[in-house]
Formats: sequence, C-alpha cells, structure tokens
Amino acid sequence: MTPRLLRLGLTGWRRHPAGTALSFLLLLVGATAVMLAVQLRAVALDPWQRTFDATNGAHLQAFGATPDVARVADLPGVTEAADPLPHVITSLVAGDRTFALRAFGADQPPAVERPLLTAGRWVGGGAEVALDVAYARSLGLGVGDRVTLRGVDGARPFTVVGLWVLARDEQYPANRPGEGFVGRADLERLQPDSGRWRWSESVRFARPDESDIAARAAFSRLPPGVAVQTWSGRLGDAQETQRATTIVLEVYGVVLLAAVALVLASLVGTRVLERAGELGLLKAVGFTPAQVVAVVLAEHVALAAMAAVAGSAVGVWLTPRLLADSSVLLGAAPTPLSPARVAATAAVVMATAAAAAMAPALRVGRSTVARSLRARGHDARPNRLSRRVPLERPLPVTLGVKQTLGRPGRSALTAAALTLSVGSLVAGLAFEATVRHEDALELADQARQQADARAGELAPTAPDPVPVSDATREQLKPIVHGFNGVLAAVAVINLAATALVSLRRRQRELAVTRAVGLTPRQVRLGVYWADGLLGVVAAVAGIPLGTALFLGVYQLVNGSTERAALPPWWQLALVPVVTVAAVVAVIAGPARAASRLGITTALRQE
Amino acid sequence: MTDSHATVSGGTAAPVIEGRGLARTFTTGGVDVLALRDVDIAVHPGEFVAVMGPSGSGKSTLLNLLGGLERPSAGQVTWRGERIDQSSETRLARLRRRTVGFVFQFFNLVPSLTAAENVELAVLLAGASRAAARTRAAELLGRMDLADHAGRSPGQLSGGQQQRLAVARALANRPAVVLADEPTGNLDSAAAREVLDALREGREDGQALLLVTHDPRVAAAADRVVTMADGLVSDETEVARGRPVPSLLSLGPLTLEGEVS
Amino acid sequence: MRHLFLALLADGPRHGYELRSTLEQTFGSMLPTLNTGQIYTTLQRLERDGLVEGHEVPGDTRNKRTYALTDTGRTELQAWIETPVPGTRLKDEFFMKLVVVSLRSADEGRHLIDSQRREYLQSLRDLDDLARTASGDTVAALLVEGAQLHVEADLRWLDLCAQRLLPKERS
Repeated sequence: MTPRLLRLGLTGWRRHPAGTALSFLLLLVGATAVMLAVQLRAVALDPWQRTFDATNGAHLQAFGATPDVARVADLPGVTEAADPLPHVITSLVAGDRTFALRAFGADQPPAVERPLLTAGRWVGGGAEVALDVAYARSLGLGVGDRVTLRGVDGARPFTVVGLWVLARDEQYPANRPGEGFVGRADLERLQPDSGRWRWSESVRFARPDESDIAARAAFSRLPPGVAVQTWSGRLGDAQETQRATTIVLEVYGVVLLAAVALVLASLVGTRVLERAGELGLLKAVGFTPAQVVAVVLAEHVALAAMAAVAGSAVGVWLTPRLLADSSVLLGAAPTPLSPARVAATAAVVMATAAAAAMAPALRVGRSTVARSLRARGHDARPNRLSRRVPLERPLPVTLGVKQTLGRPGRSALTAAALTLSVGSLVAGLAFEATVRHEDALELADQARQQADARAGELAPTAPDPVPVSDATREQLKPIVHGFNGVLAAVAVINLAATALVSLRRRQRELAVTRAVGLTPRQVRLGVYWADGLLGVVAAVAGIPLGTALFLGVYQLVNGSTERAALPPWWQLALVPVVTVAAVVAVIAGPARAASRLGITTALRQE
Repeated sequence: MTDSHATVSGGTAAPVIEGRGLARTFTTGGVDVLALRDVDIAVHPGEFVAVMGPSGSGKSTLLNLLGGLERPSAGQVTWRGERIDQSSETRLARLRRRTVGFVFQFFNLVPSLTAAENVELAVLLAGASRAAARTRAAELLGRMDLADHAGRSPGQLSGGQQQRLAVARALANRPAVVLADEPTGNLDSAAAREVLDALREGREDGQALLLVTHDPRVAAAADRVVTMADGLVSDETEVARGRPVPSLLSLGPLTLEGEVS
Repeated sequence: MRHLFLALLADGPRHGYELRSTLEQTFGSMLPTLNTGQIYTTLQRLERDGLVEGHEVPGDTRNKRTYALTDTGRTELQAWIETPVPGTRLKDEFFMKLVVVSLRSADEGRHLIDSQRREYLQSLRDLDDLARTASGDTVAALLVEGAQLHVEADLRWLDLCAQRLLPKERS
C-alpha cells in the first residue's frame, strides 16, 4: 500500500466527519471489548495462582484439635512453616442477623498462608477483627463497622479493621463458615479454655509437587483426628471455575465481534457507496480496481489501527474497575499494557474493519466507471416485500414501514446487529434470574440439611441466612455485566449510525413528502416507524436468541441446564418496549432536525 | 383572519395565489444576498403564467415563496385570500394538500413507493378513502399515458415518464394552482414537449399553472410571461394565441432574382 | 427560386403546371400561394438565359410547352447545389435601432429590448401553433423547428444585449 493510496483514503475521513466519527467510535468500542476480553483472560484466568503467590500460600495444611498439627513442619522437603494457628467457631452478629464465624487468633499475619489485606489493616489493639473479604461483602460489612462476637461468657463488641483474601478452592459462602482474624488475647476472651481450640498448620515445600506424597506420609506421623489438604487439591477446584470463565469470555467475545462487524459493515457500506462517485473519478483518471479497493481498505484499516490503540488503553483502564467488583478475584492490581496484547487486539479489530469494508469496496472496484460516477447510493425502492404493505392510513406508519422494507439489505444488517444486542441483554437477564433461582434452591437445601441434622441430634450449628453461592457465578458477574454494557454501547452507536445515515439519505424523500403535504409531525412519526420496526424485529428475534445463548453457555459451563432459569415474563415483556424506546430516543433528535429543515434546503442537497 | 389587502389585478376573479412586496435575503458566508427585492405577482384561476429570466434572477425563489416552501424576508403571500407566510409548518402542510401541487426539476418522487402509490399518497393525504385514491391515481396515470407503469418504481421510469408522474401527483387533489420549477430543465426536447402538454392539458378543472423556466419555448406556451432580472420583475407580457400563421418560405425576391444573382 | 425550378426539371421535361403542383406538394403551407404568372415569367427568363429549352407539344391546342434542362442549366444547377449558403444571416435592423437608442437613454433601450422580446415570444407561440397543425409532415416540422431555434437564439442574444449594452437598473 503506497503512501499516496493511504493519503487518498484519509481524504475520505475529512469529507464525511460524522460517519468517520461514528466508525471510529464503533471501532473504539470494539477494540475496548477485545482488549477487555484479552485482559480478562490474562488477569482473571489466573487469579488463584496470583493470590497464592501473593499470600505465600501453603502447599500443605494440617488441621486438628491440638497444636501437634505443627508436626507436619518436620516432613522432608518443607522449607517454610508458620506457627500453628488456633481458632474457635463462634457467631458474629451484624445488626439483627447472626452468622457463623471461624475466628483465628494471631497478633501478626502468619508467615505462610498469609492473608493479603485488600482494605484496612491487621488487628492491633483489643476488640478488633479482620474479615475475609467475600464474607464481609456477603454480610454487607466494611472497615469501621461494628459487630458482636459471641464468647462463652457472652457477647463482646468488635470493630472491623481490615479485609483480606486467601487463595481458596471455594470462597464464602460456598466455603463455610466465614473466617476472620482477632488478636490472640481476644481469642482467649472468646474461649478461655484453650483445650477447646482447634489448630491449623501451613507449610511450604521446596518442590510443591512433592506435597501430595508428603501428605500421604504425614498421615502416618500425625495423631488421629488430624486432616491434611494439599495445594494441588485446592488448585483443581479453582481451575473448574476458570473453565467457566473461559467459555463465557469466548462466547461473549464472538457475539461482540459479530455485532461490531455487522454494524461496521452497514456503516462502511454506506460510506463507500456515498463516495462511489468520488471513487469512480479515481478510476476515470486511471486507478485499477485493485487500487480503488486498496484506497477504501486503507481508509478503514488506518481508522481501525487508531481505534485499536485507543481502545486498548480504555480496555486496560477498565479491566481492574470491572474486576474490583468481584470478591473472588485478586486481579485488581493493574496489569501493564503489553505490546503483544495490543498487537493481538489491533489485529482482530483491523481484520474486522477490513472484512466489513471489503464487500462494498469490491463492489465499487468492479463496477464500470460510468456507473460509479452515476451512483447515488441505494434509495429504498418498492420490492415484493414492501408492495405487500398497502399504502393506507395512518400514512406515516405505512410510509415508514415501506421505506424500511424497501431497503432490505441495510435493514437486515441493522436488525441483526440490534438483535445481537437485545439477545445479549436477554442472556444477561437470564443469568440474573438463574442466580436468584440457584440461591433459592440453595436455601431450600440448607433448610432440609438443617432439619436432617436436628433429626439426627448432631451438634447444631447456626446456619447463615446467606445462600451458598457458586464461586463461578461470582466471577462471571463482572464479565457478564461488563460485556453487556459494551454490547449496549455497540447497539446505541449502531442506532445513531443508522439514524444519521438513513436520515441523511432520506432527507430529500422526507422533503418531498412534506411538499406533497405531510406535516412535520407525520414526517417524524414516519421516521420512528421506519426504525422502530427494526427495534421490534430485533426484540422479537433477540429473546429466543438470548435464551438459546444463555442456555448454551450454561450447558457448557455446568454440564446441564437443570438449574438454569429464564427471566420473569414481565422482564421479557419489557424487552421490546425498552428496545423501541431506545431506538426512538436515539433517533428523536436527528428526526426532529430533519422534519424542520427547510424543504428547499433539503431538496437542494445531493 | 381578516385580510386588508384586496386584490389589485386586472382579472375579474380573485387570484388563487398572490405575492405582494415579496423580498428574500440569503446570507452566504456572512454576506447578505438579495435574491428577491420587491415583487408583486398574482395568478388567477385557469391562468398559465410563465416566469422567465436568467439564472440568479430570483425566479425559483419567487416560486418557493409562493408555494410556502420558504418564508419571505418581507412581503406577504396569500392563497385564495388567506395569508400563509406566517402560518405554522403544520398548517402550511394541511393547506398545501388542497391548494398547491408541485412539480420540480429533479422529479422528487418518493423512491420507496410505486408510480401509482406516489399519486395515491397525495390523494390519501387530502383525506380521500383508499378506494377513491386508487381510482383517482389510475385515472391520472391513464391521462399521463403511464397506465402500463403503475407498478414500477420511479427509478425504473425515464426522465419524461418521471416528470409526467410528478405532474399526475401535482394534479391529484385538483389543487387551485400547480407550481412547476423548471419542469423541463432535465429533459430532452421530445420529453419536454410531452411534459409541457401534460401540464397544459392535464388541468381539468381550470387550475392555474405557474411555471418557472429558462426555456423560451416553454414560456411561450403560457398566457402571460413574466420576465425577471436581478430579483425584480422587468417585464410582463400577454401572449396571444391563434394568430394567423405566416409563410415560412419566401418567394419574395422571385421577380428580382435574375438581377440579384 | 430559379434554381429550385432547375432542380425540379433535373429528372426530365415538365409542363409549367406540373412544376407548380410539385412545389405545392413538397412545401405545402410553408410557401405562399403561387400564381401561374410568376411561374411562367420565371420559366421564360430561364429560357432567355439558355438554362432551359421550351418545346411545343404537337397537337396541344392550348399552347402548352414542356421545359427541359440545357447543359448550361445542368452546370448552373450543380454549381448552386455545391456552393455553401453564407453562414451569417445578420442584417439586423433591430440591433442598429438598439445601439442608437441606448446611446440616448438606457430606459428607452430597455423598452426596446422588452418589446422585441415580446415579439420573439409571440413568434415562438405562433410557430408552436404551426407545429401542431403541421404535425406529421416531416419537411414542415423541420422547417418550424429551424425557425424556433433561430428565435430562441435571438432571445438569448437579446439577453446578452441587455446585459452588456445597458447599465443595471438599481432601485
């Protein structure tokens, strides 16, 4: 591609500033989304390992009723061991609710399996507690909040001074009871009888893969009643979570790129056709069809390259903000902009732009010079479909519908892009509905288990009034919300582009209908109907699409759709309403302007 | 609405469309351009008036003002005695349906509608029933020799056919006046003649016709020719019809022939 | 006109009245009515100049003669056909009037142009009416078309005169 071709491509930007801005915005959103996906993969897929490293995680842990658990530190290959850590099971009262709490007693963070503070500080003076962040979040507690811990001699007031994370196989509430650290003196106050304390010991090996063998060896040396857990067991569980994240990321990535490509194709197609005369001129002065195609591609690929760089920056900025919402991930630390990831993003976005520009570019390249010079873009024209609609009152409605049907290719592209957006919204709603449904199922299970436990006269533990939530779900939430937001942005840009492009093209036509006697209001109504129709189509097609998408992903993640739930009917009923309202909101401004533009001004255009 | 401006024209009937003291200023790049300075014009029922003049003389601006497509900077426009230059766009749109039919140089048909639907649209807008609209459209298309093209899209028609369709649409509601802006400007002479005939003879209910053109042959077909220059009316003349036809070939110098050659 | 006669005799000898009816058929209403005297005067002059030869038809009591082209006549006809018609046809009386009047007063010049324009417009209208009556006759239609084009050119030239010869009026 010679510099001259590139320069010619660039003049296209100046000639059509609004279209260029929209294309750039769209590519930017697309690039952001791709970068987000790439970053999330990089950051979110290995949160366990990152957390494990940051907390000097234990390769082997032993649990028991006596400090003897510390004997695992004598196993061969152990390089580092913490002091044995005592804890008691107590109750935490926050407001009028009571939750079980495993309270560890440590004045200093343990050397191994050392909690990483995400907020506040370690416990210092008396009556202070540092809580597991997932537990605190679930209970709605933060640093500075006051809680009550039940000791053997009654309730004691505590203040939450810190929140921390550890590399778990499962997070609260799946992993119960919730955990917190108090000072050693406070532990003694809660349970003065140290014989009733329970103990844990965390050690690290020089060669972590030896820990499983060591664990087997440990059983023979340890007194009965001592349990051990190795890091590989914990990792296995964590990987299960990652698999789900991968699937969701990839499905969303594909949906998003498809949406961006569809909108781009429609946007680029319009721009190229608008410039057909200009491009025909290039051919008239001696450009070969290949060179004309190159000019068009240059224009859009260069735009995509710029958008990719900007989008990468936005994506890098956005990733930790999305993840910060998750209690599970330790991905909150900013990940630097890696050249490889930017390159990957740019490649994907530029390829999408090139693919979208290729078809219209080829069409212009192939057509004869005379035809390109004559081309004025495609007006809507009567076809088999639009003829089916009789010209009938209310005229704005039938006129609008006929205009949409008279432009089937463009309308289909716009509707498809809108459908993807609506579909992803529906999938998001189904995700939320399933979260609620699973919570309800969990609560029912817990109640049943509790009843079973009472019946068996086992030591009753107070159940937390919080459903056991799946770590996978918690991890997916920010991703689903983030991507839905990006898809919504694509949908809005798509609408704005459609409104802008189609209104500019229809300006003459609208002016003609006004000269015939349509009032400005009727003209606006016609525009609303022309584009609102696409919204209805998208909503109707988007609901089954979104449902199928969600069920498909759920099946991939969970192996069955047994526990999946669909959004309540009223939400589904709102989807078309919201879609059409969004369409009308976006096109209202341009439609108003178009209906007020002087008739003669509009007729002069082109 | 009380109209204090009585008609001051030679005609006996009240004018269907009238402009008094019309002026229009355009601002281009901060410079005011006077497109129209001070024009009085009245068109009476059944009259065919042509406005002629070089480009830039203000003739199209005059037509746009009279048709309510633009608002005058000064002066007033009345349609059948009702002043319209201050009316809202909505009111204008409603009045336009019955009062004025437009024919433009670039046809300006609705591309998403068929030929027949383009005419039906105008009829429906004026409040007619669907059946009445169909009948009327079929009748007009027949009269404009377009019956075979009713189902086609405007893009599939030749320039002359498109313009005849535009004439059909303009006549659809039997408006008081048809305003035509260079209706033949984009056509070859044969098509131009057909369109001119369609305009002249299509008017079945004594509609007035006001036509802007730079083609003197088209202007000569009118009853009255208004000549414009520099935003003013510079001349106005009636054109007589049915005068005795002179001989085109002369044998005049016959007897002197021997001497001349 | 005499070359037209020579042309009509090119195919062979004709009677005077034959020439007349052929002319009327070909040019129809475009020509003013021809009287017999004009035709015979013209033929006699052609014979005097040696371009045609008259022959008495034996047995025709009404003194009818047929006329035939002589070699000189044939040469003269060929020369006429081959000589182009002069391109300029301006012998414009109006222009002289306009120049003289405009020197005196721009308003009078304008008035002159306006009335001339009216005249031309009326001519166009008359020609248009003629075209309608003569439709179907190719020769006549072409002649009318030519006349219309000339008047249109005159009108355009009139606009030029107004623009270049007269100062713009200011109000």
